[in-house]
Amino acid sequence: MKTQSIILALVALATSVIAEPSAPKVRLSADLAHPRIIAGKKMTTYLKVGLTGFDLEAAAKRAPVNVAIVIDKSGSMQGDKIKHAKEAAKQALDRLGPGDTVSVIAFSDKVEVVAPASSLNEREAVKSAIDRITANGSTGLFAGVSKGSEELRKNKQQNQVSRIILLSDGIANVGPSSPQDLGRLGTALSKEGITVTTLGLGLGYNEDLMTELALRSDGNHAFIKNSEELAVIFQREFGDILSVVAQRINVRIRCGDGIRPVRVLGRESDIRGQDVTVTMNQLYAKQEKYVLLEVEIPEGATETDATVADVQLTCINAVSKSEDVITTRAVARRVSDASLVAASANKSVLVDAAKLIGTEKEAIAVKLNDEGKHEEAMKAYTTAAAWCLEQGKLLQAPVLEKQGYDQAIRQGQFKEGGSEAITARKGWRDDYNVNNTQNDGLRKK
Amino acid sequence: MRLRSTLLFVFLVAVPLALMAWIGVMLLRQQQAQARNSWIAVIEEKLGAADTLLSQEMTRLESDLDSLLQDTALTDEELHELPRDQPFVRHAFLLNTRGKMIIPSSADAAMADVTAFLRRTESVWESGVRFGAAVAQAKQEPARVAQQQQETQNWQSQMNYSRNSSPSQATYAKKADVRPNVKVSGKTGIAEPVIAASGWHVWFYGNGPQMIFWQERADKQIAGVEIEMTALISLLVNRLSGADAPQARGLMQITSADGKMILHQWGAAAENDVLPPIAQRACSSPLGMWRLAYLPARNESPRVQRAPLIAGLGGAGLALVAVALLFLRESTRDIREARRRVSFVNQVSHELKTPLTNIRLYAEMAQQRMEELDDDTASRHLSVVEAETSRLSRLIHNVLTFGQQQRDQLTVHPRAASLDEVTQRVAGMWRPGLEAKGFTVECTLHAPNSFNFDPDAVEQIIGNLLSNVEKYAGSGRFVSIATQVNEKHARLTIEDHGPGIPARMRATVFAPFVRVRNDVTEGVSGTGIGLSISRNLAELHGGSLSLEDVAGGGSRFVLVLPIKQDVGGGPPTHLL
Repeated sequence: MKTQSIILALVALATSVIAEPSAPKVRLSADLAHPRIIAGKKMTTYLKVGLTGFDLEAAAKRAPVNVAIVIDKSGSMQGDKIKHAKEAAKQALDRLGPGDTVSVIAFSDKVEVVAPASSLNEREAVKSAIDRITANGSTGLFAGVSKGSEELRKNKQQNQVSRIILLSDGIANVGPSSPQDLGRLGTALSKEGITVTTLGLGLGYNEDLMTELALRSDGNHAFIKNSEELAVIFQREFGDILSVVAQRINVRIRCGDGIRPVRVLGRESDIRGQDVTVTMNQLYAKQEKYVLLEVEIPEGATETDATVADVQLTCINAVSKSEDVITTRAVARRVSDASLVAASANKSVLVDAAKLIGTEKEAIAVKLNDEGKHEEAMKAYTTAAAWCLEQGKLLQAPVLEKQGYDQAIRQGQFKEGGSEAITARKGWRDDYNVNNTQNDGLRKK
Repeated sequence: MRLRSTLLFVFLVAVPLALMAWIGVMLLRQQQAQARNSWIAVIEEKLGAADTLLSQEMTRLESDLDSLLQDTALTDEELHELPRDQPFVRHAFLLNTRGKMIIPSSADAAMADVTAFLRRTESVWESGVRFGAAVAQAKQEPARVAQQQQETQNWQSQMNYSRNSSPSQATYAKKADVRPNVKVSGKTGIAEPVIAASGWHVWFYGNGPQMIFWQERADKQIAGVEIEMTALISLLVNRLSGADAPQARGLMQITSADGKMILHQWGAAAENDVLPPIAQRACSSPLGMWRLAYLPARNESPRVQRAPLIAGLGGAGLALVAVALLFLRESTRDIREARRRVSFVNQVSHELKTPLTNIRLYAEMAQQRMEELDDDTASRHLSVVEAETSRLSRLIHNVLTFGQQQRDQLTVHPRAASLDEVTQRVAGMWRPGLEAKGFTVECTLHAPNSFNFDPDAVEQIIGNLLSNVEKYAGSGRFVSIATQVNEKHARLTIEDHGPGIPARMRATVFAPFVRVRNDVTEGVSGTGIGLSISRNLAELHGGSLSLEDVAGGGSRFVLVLPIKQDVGGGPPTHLL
């Protein structure tokens, strides 16, 4: 027995020695909220497919970066806003290296390529081009983003991180300008591997439009109240860009026989029969993203296993530049002891599910408020906050309690109306994006 | 005089100036219109160039989609994968030969994405449109769904307006002969086209137009994709903001058909510094739901070079004014010269008066003396001297009066007098001379009463009239002098049986220096001022001097004087 284990360990060591030059890979996990379920009963639970980015070592060669900085230079940006935006963009450029590409686009009523896609050898030229941006005119956001994507396409390379950073403070009024339209644009861009990070400055921008664009392209979003924060935000954004460990992520969850995939919480997904597909554009170092799938497990005899799902992750490893395929499986064991079911429940999965459900509940409240049904909205808000707080207590999860408190605060702000309500709505959209996509790179950690 | 010179000035200067200005304005306007037309032509060309860019992009996309669909196996899985990787594809579908949808199958209708797709495209299927070569053939059978047909160079299209809320639908099929035949070699080695036809379908859903690209396979199945419109717009926007897009000083826009939504705009002008569109056109098929428009910059409209025209016309105008001024100066100098001459003549005449009076006085005295001495010959000679002297004195008197008239200094000095007495006296003075020339002088006087008038002036008038009779009516050998009076007017008529005054001269005979006959050969002389002065004098009385027609030749001058009893002299009652 001992020798056997020693041999096994040696073999493992040997394989690991052999595999040593191979780059680290994304960690894939598949956990059920209830790994043990009551036998003889149909049960609904959550499957959490987690992806964790490996730590990017300093020595590791990161993926080349292709960034288009798209700056709103409409009239409302005049003054400190444009000044800070320019400073922030210039500082951020310093973090890029020789293999990277950057372009700068400014838009107002028209779109202007301030600096066409160029390698960072011409850093100073790009910086002085940024300096020449002056603000006036209206907001042709669509053309700005389009042009940004065009500049990215010029220098398309394999395994490159393609990113548009959109900074705007206003309501788009030239070109397609509805949140749906920009969301569709985000979807289309993400098919090309382009991610759009949107930075909403002040209280004047359309948070639905900006967040939809980020959400559909798996980009970051930040609600920036004060333009002085821009420098920090840009640094964080570039920190994210430079720490991409995997791209073109495709998570395929194949549910076992008889298992019914009900829905995916908070994410766009494609459910066809037993197959659930979720795509993400990228994963950053040490970032944890997850897909929460609600599943219905059919009844079965006690002490039998239900293979809930086979999970397959395919992605491009940013370090090894090769396609990684990682698989795992989630199995639920049917037991007859109900207390065992409760005791074995996976708290972290439940917390994550509760977080997303709480986010959904709040979205309903905001939607009611948008529709002018103020009282119903307040009621829904109370329900959501109370639910979050209750779940937080139940699961002993401070993060849920915080969510509940945040919702209560926003409810108060909505009640107050005016700029408070605007702030609350923008804060909510920001939270909504972060909770659903786990793209929290622009948050203080 | 003043009026006439003003009129003259107006005609000589102002009218040509106005005419020139008018011509200038018309010329400028014409030039402007011309410049504007050619400007608009250039702009329309630019819009055309932009449209061409769009068409190129659509053609490219079309062949991309053609080969994409061609390379895609028409299975559920493959068609489902398409939207996942293809930015331009939102959804894919497959219709069987009867136009019935087989992918997505009705079994999938509950899936969220399929449900959404079916909802978006509902009006397309409801409209009963058939894709495929049928669209191209619809020309032959317009009764089917086509209500309006459009034909462009490479496209046959068919617009059908469905009954439901969607405003319009349009299907476009590419003509088979312009398609590069995509061929696959089968086992037999015979090349066989896979695609029979392909094209676009446009309809409206949600906040804008939506498009389908369809491809009819050789087996008459129709594979199609719903286009991701924002991706398409993004593509077109990038093309239009690229370096090869037509540059504009103003603003070029691509907008929705109603112009309310701007898809993209580019150009040098700021958005708030442009005028309303001066040229626009619908984009070529299949993008007919969008328009291209050009909004000129505020200062862009072409400026005609006005300077040369204005300089030319201004120069001509100045020259005209200069000529007019020169002319004016010349004529005023002439007038001054003439005035000087008149005043010289006046002076001379005045100087002549004194010696003449003396000559007359002494001639009379000498005649009396001769009559006493019974020297008939000398007496006759002296009477000739006297007659000639009085003629000379009348002449001088006329000249002086005329001088006064010219200086607007002519006045009359009415006092109570009898018209008959004055007439009698003048007639008495003239009678011997006239009778000597064979005239019969008839005097019929009926105005004995005294009223206010200037006897000297009337004497001068009668003298002038009789002098004219003597000069011009010698052939008639008759003169009648008559006076009449009523309550308001006194009337003096002098009538002769001479040749009369021709009708054409009657209006001008009272103007100075006008003579009925200018021929000196007849031995008739005159200064041509007598009638002018006479009329003037009559008018100064408030009366008139006129010429009346006489039946059977001759002329009749009528002097009418108003009877004013309150001025100067007493009422006519104290006379007889």
